Formats: sequence, C-alpha cells, structure tokens
Amino acid sequence: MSIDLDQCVKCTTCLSQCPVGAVNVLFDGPKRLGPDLARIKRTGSEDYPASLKLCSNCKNCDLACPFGVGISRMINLARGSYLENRSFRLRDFFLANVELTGKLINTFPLNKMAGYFTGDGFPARIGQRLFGLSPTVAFFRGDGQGPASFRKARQRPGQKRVVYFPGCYAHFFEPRIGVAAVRILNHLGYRVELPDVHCCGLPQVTNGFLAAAREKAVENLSLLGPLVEKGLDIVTTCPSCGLMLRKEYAELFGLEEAGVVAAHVWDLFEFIGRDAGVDSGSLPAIHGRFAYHAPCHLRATGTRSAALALFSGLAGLEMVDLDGGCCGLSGSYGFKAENYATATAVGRKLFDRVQEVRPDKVLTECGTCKIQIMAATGLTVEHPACVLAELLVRGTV
Amino acid sequence: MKAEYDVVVIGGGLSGYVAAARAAERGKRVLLLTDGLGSFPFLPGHIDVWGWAPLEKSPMVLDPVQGIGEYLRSQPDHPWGRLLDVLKESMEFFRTVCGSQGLVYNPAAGRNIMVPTPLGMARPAFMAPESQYVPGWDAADKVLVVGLAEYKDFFPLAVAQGIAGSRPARDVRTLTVSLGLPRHVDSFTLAGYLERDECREVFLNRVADAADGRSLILVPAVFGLEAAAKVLSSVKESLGVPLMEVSTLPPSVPGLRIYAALRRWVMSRGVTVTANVRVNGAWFSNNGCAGVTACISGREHKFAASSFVLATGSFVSSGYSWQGGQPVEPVMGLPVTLPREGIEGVDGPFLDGKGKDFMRVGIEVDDNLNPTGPSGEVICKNVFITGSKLAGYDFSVEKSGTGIAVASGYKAGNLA
Repeated sequence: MSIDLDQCVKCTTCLSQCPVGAVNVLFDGPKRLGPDLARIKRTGSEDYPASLKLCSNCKNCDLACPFGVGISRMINLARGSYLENRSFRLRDFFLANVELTGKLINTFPLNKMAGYFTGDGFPARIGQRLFGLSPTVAFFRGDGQGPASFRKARQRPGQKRVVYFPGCYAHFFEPRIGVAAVRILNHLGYRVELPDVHCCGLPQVTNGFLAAAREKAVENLSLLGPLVEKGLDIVTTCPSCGLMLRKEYAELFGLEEAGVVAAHVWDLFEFIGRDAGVDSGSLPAIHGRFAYHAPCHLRATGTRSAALALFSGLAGLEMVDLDGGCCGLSGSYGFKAENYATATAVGRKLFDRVQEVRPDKVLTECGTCKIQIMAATGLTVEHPACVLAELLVRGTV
Repeated sequence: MKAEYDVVVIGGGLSGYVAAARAAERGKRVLLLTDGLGSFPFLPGHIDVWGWAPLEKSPMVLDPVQGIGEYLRSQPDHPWGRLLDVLKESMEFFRTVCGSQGLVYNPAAGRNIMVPTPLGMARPAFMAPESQYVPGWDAADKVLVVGLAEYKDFFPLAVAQGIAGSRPARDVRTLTVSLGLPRHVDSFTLAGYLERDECREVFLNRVADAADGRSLILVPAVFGLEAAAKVLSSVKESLGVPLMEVSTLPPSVPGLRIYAALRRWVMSRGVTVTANVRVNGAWFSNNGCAGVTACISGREHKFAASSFVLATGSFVSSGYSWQGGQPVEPVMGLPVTLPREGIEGVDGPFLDGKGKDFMRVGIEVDDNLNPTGPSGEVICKNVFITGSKLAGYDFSVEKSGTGIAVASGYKAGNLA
C-alpha cells in the first residue's frame, strides 16, 4: 500500500497534461490507471484494464500532480502485475532486454540482419511487419563505432575520479556520446571509471518485466554502491538511466541502498555546472541556430536544462528552447507498430515547433527523442555532449 | 556562491507565473521553480477581483473598487489594501501577456460583469476571455445550450434552468449532440479533439439545424486548448450565431489556456522554468534570504539569487503544513498568522457563504509584500509573498482569488 494514495483527490490535473490521453481516446489516462486502479486493487479485484499497455511512461502526470502522488509508479506496478503471468510477444522481450538485443545486434552476423529491421527498404518493411515494429525503427541506426568504443579512448591522467554510466543507448548504438562524455570529464580533470554496469532496467519496467528490472537494479547498485562509498560521483548521459538511478530504484523497487547511490548521480551537464569547469564564454564560436528539446525524463528528475544554459552562453549561437512537450517515442513505446499513430500524434506539437524554429541542428540528451525528432523532421539531432566535446577539441587547437 | 539569477520564483501557480513574467519584462534573469501545475486546472478563466462582500446581507458586488474600499474600513489588513495601487496596471499586464499569445480578454470595464456558472446561475467577475463573455448575453431571448454526449461533466438542462430562472419568459432550449467518440472523455481530451477539423465538422453538422434562428449558443468551455481562438472563430462563423463558452468542472480548459499562454510568454522572455522541484529550505545572510534549497533525488540543490518570490500557495498545495496545532511555512520558516478570532474546525455548514477560517491563514506582509513579524517589522526585504499565501482573505466567498494572484504576482515581479 502506497502512502501517497490518499493524497490523490481525483482532481484530474494529471490527465490534463497526459500527452497520450490527449491524442488517444482509448487510453484510460493516469488518474484511472494510477490511483483509481490502485484503490480498486485494495478490494482484491483481479481485473486489469488493457489500456495499461498504452501508457508511455513519460512521467508528465507526475510533473503535473499538485499533491506529489507517484502516479506513474502506480501505473508501472499495475502494468507489471497485469503482464506478469501473460504470454508476451517475442518483440516485447527483445525491446525490453536491450542489453541482450544490443549484444546480438553488435555480434556478427546479426548486425547485418538488424538491417532487415532498421531501414526503409523493402526487406526492412517486411521485417517490421513481421515483428510488429513501427516505421520509426528505420531511424534506429548505430554510429558504427562498435559497442562501448569509449572504453578504448585514451584518457588523460587526472587527479579526481568519476564514474560514467553510459546506458544501453550510448553503450551499444551511439558510443560517440560516451567518447564525448569521457573527453569532457577528462577536460574537467577527472579520470573516468567505467565499471561493467548493466541496463538500468527501464525498458523492462515499461514492458512489464518488473522482476527482471529489479534484478538489474540490484546488480547495478551492488556495482555502484561501493564506488559511491569511496566518494565517487556517477555521471549519466541518458536521462532515462538517470531517472532510474535517482528515483525509480527507490520508488519502484523499494531498494534501501538506492537512496545512497541516487544522491551521487548527476546528469553530465548538471555535473559540468557544479564544477563550473566549462566557461561557455571561452569556447570557440558557433554560427547558427540550434534548438533544444528537454526530454521528459530529464524534466522528471527535477534537473535544470543545464545543457541549454551552457549553449545559450556560446558566442555566435542562437539557442532556442523548443518547449514542445513529449516527443511521443518514449523509449520502446513508439517502436511498436500499434503505438505508431499515437506516438506520432503526441510529437506533433514538438515537430511543429521545430518547423517553426527552423534550426540548423537539434540538441537533446535522450537517444530515443533523437530518433523520433530525426524521423519526423529530417534534421540532424545530437547529444549536446558530442557538440561540446568537439568545441573543446577545437578550443585547444 | 555566484548567483545565476536575479529572481527566483518559487511556485508555478497563477501568481508565480505572473511574478516571473513581470520580473522578466523588467529585464531580470528569472528562475521559476515549479512542483505541479498549481491552481491552473481549477481556474474558470474569468479573473475575479471582488465579487461578493462577505459581510453584507445582499453580497453581490457590482463596483469592485468601491466594494473593496467599504470592506477595508472594517478589515484593513485584507490583501487588497496593499494591492489596489497596482490593480489597473496588473490587469492590463495580464491582458496584454495573454493577448499576445492569442488568448484575448475583453478589457476590464471597472465594473463587474455577469458570467454563467457551470450550473447556469450568473455570477460576478471582473474580466473574462472573449470566448466566455458576449456583451449582453444575459438579455438574449432565444438561447440554445448545447451539451456533448461524450462529456458527462456539463449539464445543459441545469444551465438552461439557471438562465431561464433569472427571466422565466425567455426561450431557452437544450440539445445534446454526440461527436461519435467511442467513450466518455474529460474536458481536456475533448478540447484536443475539437481542435481537429473533422471532429468539429461532426459537431457543426449536428448543431446547425437547432442553431438556426437562435440569438445565443452556450457550450461547455472545451473548444480547443492552445488553438482555441481559431477553433471558436471557425465554429462561430459556421453557425452564424453568437457563441459563448461556459466554464466547467475541473480540469478547466480555460485555466489550462492561461497556463499555456503564460508559460509560452515567460519562456520566450528567457525565464528558466524547472519542473518537479519542491523547495524545502532557505539560507540567509545579513541582506535577507540568500538562497533556497530543494531536495532532488536525495541531493540538496541550491538556488541563489538577489530576491525571491514565495508563491507556493496555501495548505492544499503544501505551501503550509499543520504541525503541532500550528500552521508552518516550510521553505523559509516565516511566521504564519491565524485569523484574529482563532480557527474553528471545518465542520458545520459547508456552503454558508461565510467561508472557512483556515482559508484566512497566511503570512502578513507590508505594502511591498515583504513578510512581517508579529509587531509589523519586516523580516526579509528581498522576499515577496503572493497569491493564496497572503493572510486575511478567503477567495471562495469573496470571489477575489485570481485578481489577488495577478495583482500580487505583478507587484512582486515589479519589486523583486
């Protein structure tokens, strides 16, 4: 029984900010699937509404609630119970177990086979249809560097030490984010520790594999706990991994040791800001207009858009905050064929904003937001770490 | 600690957003920390300044400034006593900001106008959005009230009876149309749907016949969110009859329109808005408050600035808590005053028109909205108190809440 259930006064404010509810009338919405359902469950009812699967776990309900009710937590737990003993699609298994999927895709010859799903050619479309994947998957392409290439990066010696938690996206699909993060942290005088961490578990949570997600949490905490005890901080470049480490391990799984680790987890740019290690005034100028999209999961951690602040101070650059709300993709959600229409409709406001601003480039911390924005607008989308790392290199030449 | 911001506004309700907007307009670097949506989903869209004189036998107020003046004679500590000087310019500021985002308010006439409640009775308001007020609407003789089959929180019959009750000879009809949606939906979802051309087409087709020859059509206030102006003008044009939106039960779409307009405006003026931050502490220097702190995911975050607007609301939004029989202000530990007569329980008649004592609990301020102590001394010169944090008023019986929020937010933004 959750202590915040009684704090819900059924005001429906959560629904008023739910991007899925706004475009999909079949979705029961956060109030009914969160607190209402949790109340019904206390009577011993075994029924679950099927629309639990339609929640994208974007967390905007939590952000809207005036009373601090953990709505998305209630939905995630209910979805876990709902899907626990049901048969699942093979697709959901692979989308949930990103660590496994990432390893498979990066292993010859499966990396070639992945081309049958990621691409917009004929074989890819057949593959997508067969597995129930949405056309957005076509934009899910690795950067070709090979998994965890940032491990090979030569580090400058540093007095201070810090832990980098790359997350599956940077680990398997876009390791250049990791390379950039290591370079930036080096620049700040840190030697970067790269423990063998696992998937944060978020894709498993949203696909209903709660027990497996909890295992990931326990494994990660047992790796990170001792490092934190030694006084090291943990830096993430993925907003969703950050959210898991900072909030969800404690709130979803009730893991006591999670609180200790959470207090030492930082978003990369938040960390840069704390150290005041990069003075945007001293960086080389960029000429043009960039737009920034704040990922929902970064906002959900209560983190200021530190990257936006840093880039806003760059000479020559016009930086626009898109403030377009949820992109719609929400991790694996929008990769499922049945969610494609919803995910696209949710992102409409953001896409319109991008068209209105007409930036040269969009910056966002989240890998899946990036894919969605690229798919919808055709623009270049980058993690701000990649841009900053490049500027630091240019700045020292 | 180097301050990144000139002003930190704590609380993202109506007064917090107005304070941030005004401070930003003055060129200040502003950080707005929010935790939830504040009061926006509960606002009916109209702005109230003074609708009811709670001490009078026939309490309806037509001239709010005069009404406030009379009330202040016996209750000099009422917040309006410190805000009347900015009443006019704050309302104009609010109107300009909203108007620039396509949310047009009729200019305030200075006298209260009458607007229909969700139950059809007319009630006084100071200023209303164009969509919710058609001048002379209460004199229209052939009225059609349209409900939507998919929307259960609006009762055309109740609205019709409320209107007819005020002048029985009037011809008031009702009509409930279906939009063809597969289930019941809430106001907010409906507003999103009505932004779609095809959905609006269904509505227009089903209302057209009944609308013919009517002099006024009343609909629930669900006709579009951010695109409301476009949605409403296209509906009005197609039907060829004056159309007016009636405010609904929460979540209130007109309130969310205000939220969207203010948010867009402050962000375009460079205000940093950070969500999900519950501020729970502060530190002080000789000059007053030096910064506020929030616990975010187990870590203390610090926000330094030269001045602070405390807009965290009252008990409902955790702006106050109740500890050991006393109200406590959790951010700065400012003294919170109980009504002079003490505080009675919340039992007894709920809607007796006298209000509830706990509503008047709050922080005493001076004319600059700085918090004051028991003998009237200013506690912090760089802290400004706004909205429902202010002591000595009960917006529910006075119909003064949104006006006090706008005026105090504006004044705080002026001084911060």
